Amino acid sequence: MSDIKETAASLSQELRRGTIVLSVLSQLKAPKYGYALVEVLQAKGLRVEPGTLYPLLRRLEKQGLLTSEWETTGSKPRKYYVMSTTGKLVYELLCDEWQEIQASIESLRNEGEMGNG
Amino acid sequence: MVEQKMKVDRKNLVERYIFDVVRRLPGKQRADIEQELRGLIDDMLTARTGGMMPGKEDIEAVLGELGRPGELAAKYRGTERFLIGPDYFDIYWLIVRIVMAATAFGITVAMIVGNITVPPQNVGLAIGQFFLDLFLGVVQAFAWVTVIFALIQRFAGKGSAEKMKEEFRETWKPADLPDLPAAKTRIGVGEPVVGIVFGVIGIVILTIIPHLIGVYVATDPVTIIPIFDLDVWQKMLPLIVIICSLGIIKEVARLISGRYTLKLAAAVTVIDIATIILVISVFLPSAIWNGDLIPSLRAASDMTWAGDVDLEYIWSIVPMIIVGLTIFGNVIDIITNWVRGARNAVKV
Repeated sequence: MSDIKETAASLSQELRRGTIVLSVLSQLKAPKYGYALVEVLQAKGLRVEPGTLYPLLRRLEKQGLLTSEWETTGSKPRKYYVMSTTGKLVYELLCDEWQEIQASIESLRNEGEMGNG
Repeated sequence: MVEQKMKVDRKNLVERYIFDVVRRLPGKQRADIEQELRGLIDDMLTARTGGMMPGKEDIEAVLGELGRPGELAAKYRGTERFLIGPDYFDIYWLIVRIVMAATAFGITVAMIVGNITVPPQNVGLAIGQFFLDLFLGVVQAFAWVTVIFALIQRFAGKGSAEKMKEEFRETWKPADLPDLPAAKTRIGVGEPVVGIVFGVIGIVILTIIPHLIGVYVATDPVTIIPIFDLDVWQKMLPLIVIICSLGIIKEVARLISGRYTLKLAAAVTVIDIATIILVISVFLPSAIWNGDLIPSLRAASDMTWAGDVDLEYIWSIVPMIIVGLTIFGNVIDIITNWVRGARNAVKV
């Protein structure tokens, strides 16, 4: 039983992994710092490890989807990330893709239900 | 006081964590990631304690959540780093063991032969010297093979893997799949391995006991007349080792390729031509050969066996014969490789 749970957990993690970028971009139309992003995503039921998110933000910046700026006026210095123009374009494309995947999966699942029922 | 001390300890744990992550990262990213991590850990602690002073358990929990410093640093780097990757590791491991074993074998043989022909003054010293040579030789064997494979990985491995990906993305068709190698174009493991073993033993013997490579005259005790001029030999030794190493590298290339291909033929051509040039420049000039060989021979032996043969003349053409045979052998090798490579390239 615990084997099945483990397998399911690892598969669902795999499923979620691909959606992280889309989720992150969706929240970066306005500048946010890393941990604020972790909290926003968590509030929406999407748990992302900070140890995964922080390097990911850097990678997205390197790929030109995000820009960053250190904000040092507050009590502690924080690095704020925001979508670049390229980032917005990519985000649109990813959203379209997401819609398509969702539609495809839905129709596959419905067909599966009917076939089995 | 106690409060103060605890605060320092806590801070210390965080700083140790950050230091351990950051030291694994490239220099220019360090300062930035350090500041970022410090902010992150602070935010995580605040979220956990709701703004209260965090205790030791809180800090340990937060750092535990961030995970092993090495793994976090790897995520920041984005790529795995290795000296010799999985593509080459099997063959590297095979060769490193062969070369180390062959080196040990060669050194042992050289020690036995050397000490039998010239009995040592001090047996204990000779045994000590043997183990020292053995150790240094095996370490060097390991180091050189590793360096060569690291270079192959760096230049052939990564470059070609990326190029291959490009090609696959753009133009790959199933028809491009290589044919199954025909029996004659396949290179087994045995032949290259034997070649490597001989190359390594050659290096060891040519380095340690060149003075024993010579004509043995049955006087009492045995007179050994070296065929090489040992002073010149010592100066030329690096080049001689390179010649043997080229032969070993060629066998490694054959082992990695696993079949005759045009690419392998090109590599073999470069190596063989370099070998020919080196052999000509080292062995064709008379300086490296022992000019006193024939006079010494006449002095040590009555020479009745020689009859009327003109020994001086024969000795004078030996360099040309050696060089000629080397050129001949290498040219044959080049032609063979191109013919077989072409046969593999054209559909059988």
